Amino acid sequence: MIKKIIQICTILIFLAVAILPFLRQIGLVIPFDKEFVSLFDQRVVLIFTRTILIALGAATLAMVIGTLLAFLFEYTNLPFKNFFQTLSFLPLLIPPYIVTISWIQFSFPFSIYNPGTVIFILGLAFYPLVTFIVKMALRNISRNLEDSARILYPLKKVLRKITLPLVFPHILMAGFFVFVLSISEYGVPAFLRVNTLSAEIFFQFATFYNVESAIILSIPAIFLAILLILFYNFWVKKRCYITISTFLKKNKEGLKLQKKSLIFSLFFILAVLLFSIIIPLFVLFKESKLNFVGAFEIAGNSILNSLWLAVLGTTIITTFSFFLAYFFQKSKHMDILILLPIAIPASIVGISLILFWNTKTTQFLYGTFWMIIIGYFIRFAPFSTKTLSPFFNQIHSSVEESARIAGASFLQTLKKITIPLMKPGVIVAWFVGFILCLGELAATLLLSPPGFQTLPHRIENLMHYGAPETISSLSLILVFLILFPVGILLISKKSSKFLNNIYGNN
Amino acid sequence: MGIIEIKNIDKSFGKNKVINNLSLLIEKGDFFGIVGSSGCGKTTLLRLITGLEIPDKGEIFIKENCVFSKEKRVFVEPEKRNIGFVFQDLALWPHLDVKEHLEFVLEAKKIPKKEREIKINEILRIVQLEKINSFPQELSGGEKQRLAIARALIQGTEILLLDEAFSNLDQILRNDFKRDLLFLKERFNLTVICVDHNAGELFRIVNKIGVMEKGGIIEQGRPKELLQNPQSEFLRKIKLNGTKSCSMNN
Repeated sequence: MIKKIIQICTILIFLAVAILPFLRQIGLVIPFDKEFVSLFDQRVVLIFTRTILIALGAATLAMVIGTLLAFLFEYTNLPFKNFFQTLSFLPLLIPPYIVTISWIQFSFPFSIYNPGTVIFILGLAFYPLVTFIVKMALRNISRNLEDSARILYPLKKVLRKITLPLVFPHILMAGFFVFVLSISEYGVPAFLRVNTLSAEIFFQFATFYNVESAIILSIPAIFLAILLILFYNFWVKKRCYITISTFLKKNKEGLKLQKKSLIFSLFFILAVLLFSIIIPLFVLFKESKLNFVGAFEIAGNSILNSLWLAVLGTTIITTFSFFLAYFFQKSKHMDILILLPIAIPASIVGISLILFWNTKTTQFLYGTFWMIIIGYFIRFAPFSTKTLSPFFNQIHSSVEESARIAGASFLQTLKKITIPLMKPGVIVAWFVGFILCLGELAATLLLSPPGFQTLPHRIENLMHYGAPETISSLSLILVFLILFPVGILLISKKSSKFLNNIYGNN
Repeated sequence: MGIIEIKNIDKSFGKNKVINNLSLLIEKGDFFGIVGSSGCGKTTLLRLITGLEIPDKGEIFIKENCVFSKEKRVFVEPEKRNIGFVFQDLALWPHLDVKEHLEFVLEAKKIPKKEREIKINEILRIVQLEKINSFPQELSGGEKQRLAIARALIQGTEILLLDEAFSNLDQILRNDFKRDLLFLKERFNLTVICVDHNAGELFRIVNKIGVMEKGGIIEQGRPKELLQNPQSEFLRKIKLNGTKSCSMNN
């Protein structure tokens, strides 16, 4: 009985908080029949097309880089492989707008304010996601599937004819996630003055106070999100031949790189790392002029706000996601609903929440930091749930059933059996949530109560009038805040072993 | 010299020595069964013969050609050994249909496109598999097994290795499979090596048996002779059980 009540509460809360605001926003369009025509305006079509092309470009770049790295890490005798693997994961942790700030401060002899740069930055920011997913898929391919072809062909051809087609759906899946993340990205196009759907909606709402236009513009984005999630669920997922388990098998490593290939591979990895992480961090470091004390004085409050908000938000998200994953990990229909917010641009999340909560009855919540927490929840609960799901898959239902048969209640089983077994998954989900919350920008910009700023919010403000060294210092502080817990997790012997198990370092 | 000759091979995975100074001679036309408890190195032995694993020492000859010699620094790649191998889990490629499975093999063997269709139809007729455009996940257990056999045989091999071929089949399918196997052996003039922990099945069809323990062959010979005077604990247990289909998982 109690299990059923918790299950119903979980779904109702999720629907009310994460889905209802978008449905209301779609409903709000009906009175704007005049503005509705503007949807087909040449300018809107141009912005929409540009957004799609940028997302496609970023997804393609990330897929090419990510897949090549996954194969190099998984199948070759590349030297310093573990070191390169760890480094190549870092760009995913650093918010892409921080890298954009760095490239803006780098003195290029040409203009970087164009869609090409947006593609370049987003592709290099999200390739680790592809590497991670493809690497997991590669490890989970039964060795016999490759060996049965190995009897007929050399390894290189087996990789091309058997392994690549087997993991191709996973490459597509990873590309889909990059595409979706690129569409919803606000910071990078906004800082580079490239008008994408997410940026345009934000400007219409926050700069021109044209609420109707912002709402109208958000409709194609919401429908695109729904289409993408349906495409993912009914096309991409169905074509995945490999079931990914969280705990990976041993590295396969069978391809001995010849001198020429080895040099090319090392050059490729170094180039990727150089452009995705080394140069951006170096530029920020150089531009900061080590003015960290001054930066603290300017934005000390924002740093503190970011920290406690991220801790509180992540804890709420992880707790809720735990139940969401527990109850609905195998439900196809709920999967569509859980994933939907991922595909919706952050600026739309912000606007939807404002329109939904800005009423007389909900004034107690509107205008408080809780709005930011709700924003975090909508944006990142899907990530947290998806992080937890594979961990739940590892726990066989008989483990819980045997506890119930032994006389334990649902809550006792949850406390004594499920939660302890899920501890590693909860820790990973918490860290994923913390990193995402700490770097969130677009929804926070719209939802922050007056006089309240998080660190990303402060950095965005300073981009308009602040000194470059303050911006760079604060950007580095944000990077440090994100990387610090990851570092602790890696240094801790137990966690390190556990993370290696998941990420697949040897 | 036999069709396969193995001389004093060792194989370790880390500190675990799986094959220990193993020597074995398989004559042309043999139906050789290798039995032993789980983890005694049976599958590793097959993988060493195919070249999927490299021995730490010793020599392996196939059809009088040296395919591995530590001393002479010889290692012939798996794709050049022309051995048919049916894996325990069958290892059918989920993204290829029945026809594509067989075409993939014929392409590797550089068979001209015109001849491929004829060969595919012939092998499918022999193994009695009709669902030419079905994917593995659409086939029954028995059909999957027949596809795996067809894939191994279409390359025109003389040597067929079977890894725990009976383990995934129910009793009715096992009987069918035994009958089919004997037929295919004669039809293609094969030398077959079949490993199984379920010794009862093998004793009924093979002409020679080798018992493996701790990475070595501890006794070998004709099934009847071995059972009359069993030297190993493994065979004594089988004799005690009257060669019933018994799982010897220790």
